[in-house]
Amino acid sequence: MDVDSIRLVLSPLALSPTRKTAIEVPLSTFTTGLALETSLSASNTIVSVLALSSGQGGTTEDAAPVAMTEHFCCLTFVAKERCLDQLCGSNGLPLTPNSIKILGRSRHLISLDHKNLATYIDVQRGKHERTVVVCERPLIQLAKHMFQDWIEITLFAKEVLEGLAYLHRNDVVHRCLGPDNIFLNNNVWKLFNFGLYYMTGDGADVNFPIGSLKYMAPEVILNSPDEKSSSSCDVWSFGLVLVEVLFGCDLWPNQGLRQIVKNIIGLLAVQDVLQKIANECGKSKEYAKLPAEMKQLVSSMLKTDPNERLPADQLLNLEIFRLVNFEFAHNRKFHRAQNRANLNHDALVELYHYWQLSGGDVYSELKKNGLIHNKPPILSLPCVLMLEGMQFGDSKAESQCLGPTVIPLNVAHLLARFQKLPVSFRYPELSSRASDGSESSSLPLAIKERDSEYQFRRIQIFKHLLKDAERHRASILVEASRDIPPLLRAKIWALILSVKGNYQDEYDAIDKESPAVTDRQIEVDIPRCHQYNELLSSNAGHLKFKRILKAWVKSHPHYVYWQGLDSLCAPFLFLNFHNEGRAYASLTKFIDKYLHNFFLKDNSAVIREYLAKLKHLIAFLDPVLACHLLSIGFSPELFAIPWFLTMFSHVLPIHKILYLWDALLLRDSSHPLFIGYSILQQFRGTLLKSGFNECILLFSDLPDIDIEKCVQDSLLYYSGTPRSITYRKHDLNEDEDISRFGMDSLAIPLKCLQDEISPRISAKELSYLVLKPATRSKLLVIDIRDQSLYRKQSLVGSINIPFTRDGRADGKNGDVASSKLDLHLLMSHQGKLIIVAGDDMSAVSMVCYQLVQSSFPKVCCLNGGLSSLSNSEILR
Amino acid sequence: MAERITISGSVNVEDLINRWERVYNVPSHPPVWNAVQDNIEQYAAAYHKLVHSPVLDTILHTEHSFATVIHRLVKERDEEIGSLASKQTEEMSKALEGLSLGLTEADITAIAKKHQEEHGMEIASWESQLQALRESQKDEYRNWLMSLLEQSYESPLATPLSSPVVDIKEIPDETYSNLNQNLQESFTIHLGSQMKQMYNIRILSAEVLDFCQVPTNDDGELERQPRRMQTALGLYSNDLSGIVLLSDNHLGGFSGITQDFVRVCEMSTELHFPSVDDQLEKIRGFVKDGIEWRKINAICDNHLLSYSEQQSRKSGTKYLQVGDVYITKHSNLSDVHVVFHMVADDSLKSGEITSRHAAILGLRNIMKCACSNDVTTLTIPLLLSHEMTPEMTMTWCNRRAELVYKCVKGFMIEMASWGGSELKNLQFLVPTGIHEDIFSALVAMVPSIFRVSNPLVLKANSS
Repeated sequence: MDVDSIRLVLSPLALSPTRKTAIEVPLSTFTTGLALETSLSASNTIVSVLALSSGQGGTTEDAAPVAMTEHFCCLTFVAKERCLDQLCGSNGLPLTPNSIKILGRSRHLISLDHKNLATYIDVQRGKHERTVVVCERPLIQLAKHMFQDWIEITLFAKEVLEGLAYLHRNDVVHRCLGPDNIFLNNNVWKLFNFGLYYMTGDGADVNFPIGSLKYMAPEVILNSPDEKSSSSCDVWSFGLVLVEVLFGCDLWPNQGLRQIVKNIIGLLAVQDVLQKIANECGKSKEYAKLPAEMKQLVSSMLKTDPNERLPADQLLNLEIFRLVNFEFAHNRKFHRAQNRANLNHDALVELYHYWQLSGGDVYSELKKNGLIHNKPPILSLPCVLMLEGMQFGDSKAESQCLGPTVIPLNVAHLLARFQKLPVSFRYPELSSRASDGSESSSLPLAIKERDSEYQFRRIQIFKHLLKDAERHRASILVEASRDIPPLLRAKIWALILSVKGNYQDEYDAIDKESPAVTDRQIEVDIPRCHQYNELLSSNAGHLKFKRILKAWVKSHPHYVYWQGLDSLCAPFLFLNFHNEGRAYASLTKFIDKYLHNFFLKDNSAVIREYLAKLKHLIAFLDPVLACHLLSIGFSPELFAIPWFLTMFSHVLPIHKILYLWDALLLRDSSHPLFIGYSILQQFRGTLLKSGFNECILLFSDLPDIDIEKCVQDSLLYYSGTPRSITYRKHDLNEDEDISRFGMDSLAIPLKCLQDEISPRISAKELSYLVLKPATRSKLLVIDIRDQSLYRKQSLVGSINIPFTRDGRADGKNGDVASSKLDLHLLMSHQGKLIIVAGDDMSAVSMVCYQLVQSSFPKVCCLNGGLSSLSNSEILR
Repeated sequence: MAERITISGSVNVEDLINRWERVYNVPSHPPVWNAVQDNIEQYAAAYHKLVHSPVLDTILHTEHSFATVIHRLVKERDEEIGSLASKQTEEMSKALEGLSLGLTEADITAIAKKHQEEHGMEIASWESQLQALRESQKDEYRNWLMSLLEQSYESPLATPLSSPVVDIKEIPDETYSNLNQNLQESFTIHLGSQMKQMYNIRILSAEVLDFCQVPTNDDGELERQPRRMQTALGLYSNDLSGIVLLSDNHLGGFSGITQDFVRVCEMSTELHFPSVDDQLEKIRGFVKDGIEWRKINAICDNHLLSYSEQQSRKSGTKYLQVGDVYITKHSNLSDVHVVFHMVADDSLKSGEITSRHAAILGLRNIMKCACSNDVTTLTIPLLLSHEMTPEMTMTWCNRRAELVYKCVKGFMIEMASWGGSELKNLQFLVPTGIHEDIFSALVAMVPSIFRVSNPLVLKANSS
């Protein structure tokens, strides 16, 4: 009997004997956000909400309109401001403001997903230490609910305890559990505000006390107010709530704080707290009537010694719940019609995402409701600032208080808009895949990311594809190349990087705690890495950073920690802040693919080769710039190492890295070279005008770049460049193109690579290009061998410009003279791919140099000379 | 835990209760807004709304007329008192001549006493006249504003409304010649390596009171300034403008720049806040609290202030000390809303001060305060002096400027994480009379210390 799979449905309405329909909804529909509901099921995904509110299905007879349009709400408070003398840590770096600490911790809460918890959806940080919390909207307060019998109360207890047990499993202590934080949402009991104590660092980061004194456990009272409470205090609090529910009374009404504290301490001397309270409330009769199992439950919760108190998960094993479960399973009376359910965790987050995109702003809502008091700052200035940092005469009382008010956020308008969208938007699997042509797809990414309707459509498509990610991998790559919706970016990235499903187990198995030699360096680097980002600068962020970096170092013993690994980690951590395992797995895959062997202890060969390739690429695509940089001696070694070592994550802010990597991830490991080149192109004008010093200065702190243009340019260059041009020996080289284009033969010694100005093209790729009519006309092969050799055998369509070394000294003078003549001949071919072929590579390289000097773009040389082509069909 | 419970069951219940009471009785519930505060805020909201409407010009005009009246009266007072003084001097010299003619010393004393009384009477009568005028202006202005507000509700199409001042004279062309700030230079800089935050930095040579004083024209009448409009618009906004004024610890006693400043403030009626005298009076009260606090509080573990420094402060006088700051707010000055009066002393004349000097730490407090109170434009005396003195040589100035630049830069970086509002404009003020060479040396230092931003220029036709 799988009781868990039955949704507990108990409401006064449902208990009335006239209605006896029953729909069993498996629990799984609440946890799988990806499950796309049909219109008849409970409305726990957005699509089904749309279906329901448009009247397509479901019985909406008693649907309160409010519940349909207000799924979440917000509340706000202000964190303690740091005193002036505590602004800097011992390392000289600024300390984290409290609101940022809160923000960092809150991600854990947002990741919590349980049907008996009012989901946390978002936590934002405002100016002047303000924190705004967005969470699932509570509907009916416990006090407003009338219980029919003690079975219903037991079911209530069961749900709350399940929520508590889940919280405690996840190391969250509620601490302010009381009747005002328990709500009934569509027949499900939910704990509200359960993360306040957790996110404020056990109350340390705020000025107001957390928790209602009356429900505080005796041991909490005995400790000082700022001592950390353990999870068992929640059990006590709920015990008291339960007693009040059972007896239908209000314990210690109208009593002041002093008396309440005395009362609680008084309970310490009592053997049977339940009985004592019953007597105090004058409910001895009701006490006598309570079933023994219920007494057992409540007494095990109200043990004055926290060690004797049973934890929530053990309480759930008590006799009483077994009885009720049995009753529940066998008596259909308790299965009630259920026409609406609460949105599940993912659906709430998604809906909130759209709400924000469509202009929803919690701050303006709070202001509208007067929760953010907008006092002109000039009226709250202090009068005196003592040197020690103490202020006098200010009138800022606001920071002291916790706004108890909860503001519901309305999504009616948003849903109405989505209603009007074509049905195919909602059910992408129903429509043919080819549907396209929406005018918005050509708009800049920044606009598309703010368009709620566009995002809705994209997200539905991706959600559909991600349901069976393995099968749809190809389609996902195609869709991702158009754009990636920010809401799903973490998931999609992991998929593109082929992160395996069991990443969490792998991550858990790595030792991230034992000290290692690199710890010191990691600790120095983290507080300097992308700290403008609130999440990454929070304490929680630093801890996660450290664990991931340590895990990587530990599990890659053949590599070392190079500075820059922290920057690489930053975007992944930012995206997967509540999913360290996935951040780690994505990082690992990313490094394997794009930074193969970069983290070797001696990585000089790898990096030199990389930079030489960048140099080749510049010469290949922009000979004028290449010559200028060469003449002033501004080589890539001087600026590009941090670019490639961190895949630009050290020089760009995170929001730009995300755009850049969206494109990067879909391509092979040569793409970064083109990105580097595109960045240079954005400064082309300045670079051409500047000398060495100005160039160094310009790149010492990379100016702002237009990232979308950079990405688009890089794709253009990427597609216009033969693959073997950017081949690197030290690359991972698992691409299928490698063998297809015969790049394996390109393993050229580093020295050659650095000396040559132009890149080499592989013989196989040349044949491929020559054989393809589309490309054949766009290339020119210059054969520099002796005429006699040329006559004997040559490439189809090649022209012969013999290269003669005259004199025994450097043949340069002679070359120049002869090349002048050549140039006229070649002018008409400018813009074509020019392949210089010959048997003597040094001669070939010299010719290339002349061509580049004369501003010929797309110059490369044939690797291995013409001899490598023997037996090829392109010879004549 | 069990032991603990049994023990504490009997002990210290009172203590416990007190502890919890303390936590739960801090104003943990929304503060009750008392009527006065409410009133002030209402007024602020009304003003802010009105200055951002077509009646702005009328308001400015009214303010200007009010200021002109006061200004004339002040001028008249100064003349009268001047003439009284000269009359008295004359009388006295005559009397002294008469000493030989039979007047006794007692008579002279009597005359002197009479003079003093006359002088006192005169000042008092002027003062009360001015005071009365100020009060009536304030009331009139307030009532007028509120009526404006009501009218603006009634007829949203706000036609220029008649101002309570009858004699609207033609305003002469605004010649903006008065601040000859030839020596000034502006930069846009950025801080931060990946995320670049922009700031404007200006360095200029001017009198510090030029930022406060509403200039007068050739006839000695107050000029109408376009800058006043900016100041009025920003008064209740989240973009305040502040200036650091180095002063002594007497809170506007009888000498020094603070007194000049007070005089500037009194040139027109403070229509929004208590008068500068009242503000100073209030501050004196808070200073007492502050000194008291300093005496009581244990020396905190503070890496910024050394133990001995704190010790000396503790045992120090009943006055504010170097680096302590008091703050006044104003609605009637030309460029600034907030004035940070930082106590300075002769130790600042030394060329040897370091980043640990109290005045530098005072600057940090000021910037922190600015940041948490939305002061987004701040003017700082770069050399920590309002006038050029002989010891301020080229080397001295370079050294001082480098120190202040670097410290301020550090504070700006710190500020970025404080979570207040970012400082947008930072002005470094150097005294007038600075040598041009020194000035250009100081200007040249900016790009070497701050990172001058390097804008990306994208050409439309770039490939």
